[in-house]
Amino acid sequence: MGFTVFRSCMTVLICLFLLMLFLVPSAYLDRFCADANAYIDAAEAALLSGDLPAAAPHCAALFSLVRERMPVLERFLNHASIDALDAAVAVADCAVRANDAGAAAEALREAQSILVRIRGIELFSWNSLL
Amino acid sequence: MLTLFLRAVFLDLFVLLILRLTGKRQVSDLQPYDLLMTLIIADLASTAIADTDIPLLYSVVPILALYLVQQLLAKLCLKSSLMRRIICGTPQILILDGVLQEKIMRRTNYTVRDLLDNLRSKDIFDVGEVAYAILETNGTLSVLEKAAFQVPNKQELNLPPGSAALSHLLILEGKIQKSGLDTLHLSRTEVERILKEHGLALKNVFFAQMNGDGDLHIQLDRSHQSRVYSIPAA
Repeated sequence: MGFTVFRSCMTVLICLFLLMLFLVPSAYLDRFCADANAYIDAAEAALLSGDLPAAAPHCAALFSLVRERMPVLERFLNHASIDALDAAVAVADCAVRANDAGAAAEALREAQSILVRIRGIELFSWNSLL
Repeated sequence: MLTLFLRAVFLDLFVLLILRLTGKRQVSDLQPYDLLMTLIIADLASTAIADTDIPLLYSVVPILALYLVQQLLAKLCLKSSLMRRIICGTPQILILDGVLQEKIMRRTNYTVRDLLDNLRSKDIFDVGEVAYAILETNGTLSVLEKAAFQVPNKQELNLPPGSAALSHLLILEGKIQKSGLDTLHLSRTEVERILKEHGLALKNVFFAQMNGDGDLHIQLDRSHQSRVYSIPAA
């Protein structure tokens, strides 16, 4: 009797834990992707207009955002993809500071594609399921 | 390295908890599905132990999902005999009234050699002694011998039935076991008195067990040549 009650309680707790895992990381990733994309868009817009100094604060903010959120993201995402994002953002930041608009734009595009990929891991889709 | 060590400890304890929650104690209890689940859990756990690039949740979530599915199927099997037949299968009669069921044996991929092997493991060396043999869903073989070959029991031989009570451990390595005393409704003083009556000291007793009739089986430790005493109930 005691074990059966314990097992039932554990099963309920496991269900709640899984439900939390379905919702919380996804919400966190949504917010992170929205913030990161906003910085990327702003930096790309500045690069397109040829205003490298205007792109620098956006790239720096993007770099610090990724660094700040990395420890949490690594709890539920493959470390390799997070490391790749970090590397791409670091390249973009360095390139802007070195006044290399081409390299910065390429690194930002790379960062954006990685964001789409890591969002795809967490977001349910038939493609990722199959 | 410490990370690997701690991940291994965490996942080991986690898998232990999950396997205990499933309620299965040994491999022979397992239905094929349960065995498969256990193997998948082991594989998932080992992946996250060895690869620190993978978050622990990548192993924990699938293991919890498998546990929930297993619990759901177990509940369905309890509630519905149809589900039980689909998931666990049904026992198959391999020998019916002394006759080997060739069609069923072919269907279950059970050869005559397999059958003879399993009968021998049950101390039956002649298939002619078997009335019924049933292949259970967990792969074990249950056998009912023909009446002429069955061992007669005490009731059939009109013998006194004797006690069917369990024996309990009273002393282990010179220490009286409280659980044994409680079950047998004995006191420490009574045990010491019995030992004293037979010239034995508690500290020299390696092992002592008392059965339901009150018969005491004692073995002394190695320093006393592991002598064995059988003391009948007073």
